Amino acid sequence: MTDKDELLQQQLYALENGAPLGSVVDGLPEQDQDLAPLISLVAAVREIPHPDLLLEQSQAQQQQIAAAVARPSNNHRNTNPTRQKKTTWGRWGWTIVPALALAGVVMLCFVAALAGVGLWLGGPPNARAATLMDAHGQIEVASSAVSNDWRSVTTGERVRAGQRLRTHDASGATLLFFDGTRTTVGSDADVTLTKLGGGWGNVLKVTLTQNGGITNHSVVPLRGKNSSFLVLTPSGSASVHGTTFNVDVASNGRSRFAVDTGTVLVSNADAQVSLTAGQATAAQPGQKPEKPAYRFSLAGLVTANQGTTWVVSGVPFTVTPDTEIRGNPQVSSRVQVKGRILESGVWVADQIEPVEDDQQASSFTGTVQAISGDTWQVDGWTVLANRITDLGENLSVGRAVRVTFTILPDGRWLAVRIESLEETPPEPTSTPAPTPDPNAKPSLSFQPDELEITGCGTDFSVNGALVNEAEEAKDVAANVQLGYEVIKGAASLVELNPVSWDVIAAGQTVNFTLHVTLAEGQQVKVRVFVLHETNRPDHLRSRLTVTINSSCNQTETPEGTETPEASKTPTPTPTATAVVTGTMTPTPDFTPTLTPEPSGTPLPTATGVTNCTGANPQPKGMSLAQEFGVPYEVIMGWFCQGFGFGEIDLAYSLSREAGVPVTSIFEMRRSGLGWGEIKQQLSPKPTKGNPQPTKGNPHK
Amino acid sequence: MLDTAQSEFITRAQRGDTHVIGMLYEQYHTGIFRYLYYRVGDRQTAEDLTSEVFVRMLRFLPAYRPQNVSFQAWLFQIARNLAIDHHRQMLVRNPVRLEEDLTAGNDDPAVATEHGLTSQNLRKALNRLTDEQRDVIVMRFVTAMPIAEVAQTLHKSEDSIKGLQRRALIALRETLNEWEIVYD
Repeated sequence: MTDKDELLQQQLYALENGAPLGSVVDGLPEQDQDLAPLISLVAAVREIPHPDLLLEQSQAQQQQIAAAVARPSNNHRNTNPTRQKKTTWGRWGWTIVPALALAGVVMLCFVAALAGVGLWLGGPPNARAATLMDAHGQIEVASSAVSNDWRSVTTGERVRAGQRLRTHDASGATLLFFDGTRTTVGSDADVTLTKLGGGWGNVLKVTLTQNGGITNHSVVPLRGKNSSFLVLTPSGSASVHGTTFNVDVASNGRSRFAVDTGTVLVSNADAQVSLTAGQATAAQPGQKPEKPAYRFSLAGLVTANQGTTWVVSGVPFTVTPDTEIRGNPQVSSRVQVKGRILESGVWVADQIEPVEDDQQASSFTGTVQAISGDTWQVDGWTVLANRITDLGENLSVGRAVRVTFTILPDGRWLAVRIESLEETPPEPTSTPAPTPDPNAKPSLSFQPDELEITGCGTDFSVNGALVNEAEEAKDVAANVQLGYEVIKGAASLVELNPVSWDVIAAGQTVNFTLHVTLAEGQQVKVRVFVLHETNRPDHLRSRLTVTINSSCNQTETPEGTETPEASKTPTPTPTATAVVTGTMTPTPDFTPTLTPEPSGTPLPTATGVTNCTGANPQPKGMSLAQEFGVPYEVIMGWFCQGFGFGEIDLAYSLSREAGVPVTSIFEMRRSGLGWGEIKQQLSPKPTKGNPQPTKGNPHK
Repeated sequence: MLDTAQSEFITRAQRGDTHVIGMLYEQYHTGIFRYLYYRVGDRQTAEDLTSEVFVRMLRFLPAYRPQNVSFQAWLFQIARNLAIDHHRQMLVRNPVRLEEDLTAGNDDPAVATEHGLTSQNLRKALNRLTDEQRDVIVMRFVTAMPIAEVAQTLHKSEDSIKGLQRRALIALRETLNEWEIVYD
């Protein structure tokens, strides 16, 4: 070996590791400039599209190999029966002299076309590398999966097929592929770009081999059967066609696959499972992937870690031998927990790792089973969604969602955000989606507007009816949604079904059922109102007041007794034998009701409302009433007691956020506390070192 | 971490873990196919031989010892041996045609191609080089194999490969210049 050989190798090494050709050549000493064309040649050879096996061929070969594994003693020769050698085509040309010139021209065209096809098959030049974006911390690239020639890389550099990328602690980067697909590599990850190519028309072919760390993938919907996006891990592989998902490989080779949107097929030698939006699975090397399950992520302080049951942020979950616990988290350590919600309802942790900040939020995924006013049922879990909840688009019953939540002092789960995990809205129904029509003047009213049911039992169902009394066809009501409020007593469950309608035509009556569960011997009064309507939002004054008495001392009536005009009165369907009293009130005016709350402080009476305001209705009072779903008269009652509209707004907001009766909040204010102090007192304050009891069992 | 993982992969592949074997195929088949394509000069044959490489890999995997040679170098040794066997068989079966295929018959890129560097005229130009020179060019610059592994594959020292590498590039450049193929 000469010095020139060594120098050439050094320059080529720099080129292979991303140094620009110009700088490599410029770095040559004067006397070694003869190496410059050799380096340029290497750069050219590296850049041209080289032949590749077609996807079908490589798949067929993989199948052959898999079959060979199953038959290890078989003779493996002649594995491809289609193998045929080429014929001696050259003989013919020399025997037909007159055709020689023509053959030459044809050959020229043919080879030129081949060259063109070769270039075309190579796909866009930028398809053969991914661009590194958002690199932070220490990111390194090696020239191949088995090389240790690491070099640091930064944003803007290109990572090529075959190269291996690793990230260190508190580091990360995103690989941007030519069609817009992104792979974000988290800290302590080790990923090889095993295969990377593409064709014209955004055909992307990617195979990543992930041996450690977490990767998040946002895959642009792949085009054509030749497109592929595959992530290989020691315990299974994930293949997708347009989706967002992440893969987390633990140091023991156990992999966790989680899907945000779309579908991912997870497979290994033993089995395959299909994950849909919101689901996750885990796979151990050499074992079948586990059944798909919805997932959770908890962030906060460890408040208990006894045996297999831990509690983080008030949520208990199970730790198994497969749970990867990073560091040594103790009670009062701040951690992030990722896991899956098993069919049985048990929350099982896949990974627990310490975190330094408290920026992460707790969340879980599931299918929306019911929406009843501000109460959502998501895969069996009840969450409160109030005015501070950020509701995403395309939310409806049956859709997969992610619920980001916090736990209120009373143990209820308050949804901070609910977002749909399904990208496309549901199939359109025969009724087109209503659009706002400023000329439509619907007139919605409950008929009747008052119902009373008495029965022996704890579960009651009452039918109600909502009528659009408008007469002209144009006066349709659009996007109608009901709300409810328990104005007296306590109910453990209140549900409205259905709770919304896209359209209620002029003259149309829609029926709904109110389900209430209450304690035996108790009375509950529920007010149902129209929470939302698009075309004429300022007319929503009609209320239905339902009084439910659980009493076993009543004289039972086999069939509900209805008031006159029973034909227009919805038939109650009590789960217990009941006495029903329906009152038909022709006007939608509200009947003032005193509503003593647990604090003993009654809600303000509406008496005298018109005596303390110059306007009737008062616009701000109306606005607050609609916003919080309480009667206008109640709002005005507080106003007439001396509270400003701003204070009323704040009190109801705090009431919903903290789950504390609004009367208690006004009492606190009356006691002389400032609003800041009230807010502080209502905020949850976990006690350090003192495990927080798990109020409001999050389990089914 | 990867080295441990890679070692674990090989152990599992040796035990017949089909998932890991599939991963090894995914990881290496492109490089193997390209090497064989430039070596034998025929796509169909390269496809067949690629398949055979992995079948042989399965057969000989229990005897593979990572401490002696890297897995990639070991795999390319199999591929190279197959290519040599193939060449010998073709020589025995049809020596005249093979010579035509590998030399004069394909060696007219000045007529047959445009003046840019493509995989076709690279393949033809590589036919002008010695087997070792061709191996070094393809392994180093088409499959991006490090010097050390090329040395392992060809049973030579790294210094020998560096010298071979420079000579191979000079020979390739002369051929391309002769054919007036522009590459920079």
